Amino acid sequence: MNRLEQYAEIISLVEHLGKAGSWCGETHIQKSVYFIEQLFPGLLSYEFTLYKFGPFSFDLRDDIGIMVAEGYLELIPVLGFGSQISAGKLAKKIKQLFIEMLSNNESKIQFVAKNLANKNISQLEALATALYVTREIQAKAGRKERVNELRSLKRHIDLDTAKKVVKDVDNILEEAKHLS
Amino acid sequence: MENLELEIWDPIHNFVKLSPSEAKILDSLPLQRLRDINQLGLTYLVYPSATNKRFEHSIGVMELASRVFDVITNINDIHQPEIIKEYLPEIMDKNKCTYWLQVLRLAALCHDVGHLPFSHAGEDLMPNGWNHERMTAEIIREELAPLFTGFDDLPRSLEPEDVVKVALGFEEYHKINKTEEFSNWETILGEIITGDAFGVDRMDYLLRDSYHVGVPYGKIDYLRLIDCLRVLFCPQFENPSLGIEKSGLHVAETLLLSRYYMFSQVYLHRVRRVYDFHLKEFLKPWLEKKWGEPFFSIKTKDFLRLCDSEIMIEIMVSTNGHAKRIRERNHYREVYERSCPVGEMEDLEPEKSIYEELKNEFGKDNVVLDDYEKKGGIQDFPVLTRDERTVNAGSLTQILNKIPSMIKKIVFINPDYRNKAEELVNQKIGKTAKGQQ
Repeated sequence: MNRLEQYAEIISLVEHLGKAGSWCGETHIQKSVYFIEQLFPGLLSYEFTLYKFGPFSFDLRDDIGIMVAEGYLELIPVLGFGSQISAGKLAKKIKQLFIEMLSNNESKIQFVAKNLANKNISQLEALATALYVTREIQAKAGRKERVNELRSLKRHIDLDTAKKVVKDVDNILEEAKHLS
Repeated sequence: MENLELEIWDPIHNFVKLSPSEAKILDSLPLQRLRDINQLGLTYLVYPSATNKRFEHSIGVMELASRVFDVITNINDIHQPEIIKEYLPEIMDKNKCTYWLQVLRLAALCHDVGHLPFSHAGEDLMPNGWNHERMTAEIIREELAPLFTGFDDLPRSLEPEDVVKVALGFEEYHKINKTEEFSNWETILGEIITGDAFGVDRMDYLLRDSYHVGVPYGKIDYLRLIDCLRVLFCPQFENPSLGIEKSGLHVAETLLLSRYYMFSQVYLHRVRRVYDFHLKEFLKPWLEKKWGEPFFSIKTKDFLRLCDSEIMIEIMVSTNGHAKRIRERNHYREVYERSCPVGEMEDLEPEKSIYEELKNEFGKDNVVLDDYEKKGGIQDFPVLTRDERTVNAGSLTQILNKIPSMIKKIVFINPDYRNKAEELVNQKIGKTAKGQQ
C-alpha cells in the first residue's frame, strides 16, 4: 500500500469515527489503527510499540502531522479535551483517487470505528493494551492469565475493568473473523 | 554529587558549570570530536556565520536539562504530590534525585556523540537500521562507559544503560531495543532532552543557531518556559507527563513557532538542501573507496576518527563532480518548490510528476527531488490551569493547532539545463517558473 492509499484509509477511519459519535482525537486514531492492523493484517502498515498510553505508532503520529500539513486532516480545538481531528479540505480529493479500495475496505473500517468510537481515552488505553496482550504476549493464554498480564503492564486498571476489556477483545476478535 | 567547580563561558547560557568527573567526559575523544562537527552542516555556505559546533550545543543541552530537572523536582511546585509520588517515587527521594540528575546531565552532554560529519547530511549513508542515535548508544556503551566509574559521590554506581536510555528517549531507544521497558520516570527524563514540545535539545539549538546565523526566529523566553514546566497528569489518564503551567503556555507557543520559522528559513533553505545532496553524492564513492561500501563505518573506533575537516580537505582536492560543485559554489538550481497543500491542483504530488518529467528529459543525474516532511505529529501536552485543573493544551490555544508540520518539496536541476527546465515546469503547472503557490 502506498502512502496516499494509507492516507485515504485513515481519512475513511476518521470519518467513520465521527459518524459513530466519536470526538476523534489522536488517541482514537492510534488505537483504531492498532485494531485494524491486528484484525485485518495488510490493510494498513504501521509498527506499534507499547508506550505511555498503550500501543502507539510513532510513524502514524508523524503521518497524522503530515496529513494535517497537507490539508487531508484538520485540527479543531475542543475545550477540555484537546484537538479534535476531522477530514480536511483535501480529503475528498484524495478519496476520489481510491474509490474502489475504500469501498472494499469500508466494512472493516466501519467495524473498528463502531467498536471504539464511544470509548473514552482510559477505555481505549485499556482495550488496546488488552488486544496487545492477547495478540503479542499471550496469544494462547486463557483470560485469567491475560487479565493478570494486562494489570501488570497497567497498574491503574482495576480487576473488573481488566476482565471486561479482555472479554470485549475476545468478542471483537470473534466478530472480526466474519469480515476477514 | 560532586561540586560543580569548573566553568565554561557560553554565549547563550553564560557560565556553564561542570564537576571534575564530568570534565573528564568532556575531555574524552567522543566529546572533543564534536568540536569539529558543524551543528548546521553546510549551512555556512548560505549563512557564513553558521559555524557553531555540536560541542558547545552539547554543553548547552546539559545546562538546560539540569535547570529543568531542578524545576520539576522542586517540592514546592509538585502538583498533586500524593498521586505523583505513587507513580514517580523517584521525584521525592533525595538520593534517587541525586543519581538521576547525574544520569540526565551525562545523557544531555553525550546525546550527540553519534553524529556524523556535517550532522544530518550524511544520515542516509549509514547502514540499514542505523542512525546517529544508535551510534550514540554504541559510543556511550563502548567508549564512555569506562569513564563513568569516577562518579563516587553518587548513592549507587552509574549505570551506562541509564544514560543511553535517557539520551535517546523512548522512541529512538525502542528502535534498537524493543523489549526494554521504560519506567514513567525514565520516560519523563528522556522527554526533558528529546521531547517534542519542551525538549531542551530543541530549545538550545534554536537559541544557538539563531544567534550564530544572525536571524531572530529562534529567540524565545526560554527561562520563563523552563520555570513553568511541571510534571502533570494528562486529563483522563493516570500517567504523568511533562507539561506546563498556563502562565507559560504562550512561551510554549513561541517555541513551536520559532521552530517552524527556523526550519523554513534556515534548516530547509533550498541552497543548504542542495548542498546536502552534493555532499552525499561525493561521499558515496569516497566511502566505498575508504571502507569498501558506500556507508559510514559503524565500528566506533573508525567512526570517531571522522569529522568535518577530513572530509572538507578531500572535497577541496577531489576530481569528483559534486565535490567541484561544492568548492566552486555551482550547485543545482531550484525549478519547483511546494511547502503548503496543493490547493486546487489536480495532482496531489506535483513535485513527483515534475521530477519524473524532468528526469526523462534531462537524465536522472541532472535532476534531484528533495522531499522533506517534518516528523513529530500534533503538538499536545498537559497544562495546569489557574484553578488547578489539568487540561490538554490543544483545547486552550488556537495557535498550537495552526502550526503545521513543515513540508518542503523542491525539484533541483543541473544549472546547464535550468532555462529549458523552467519552461517545462511552467508549461506543466501553468504558473510562474518556480511554481510557488
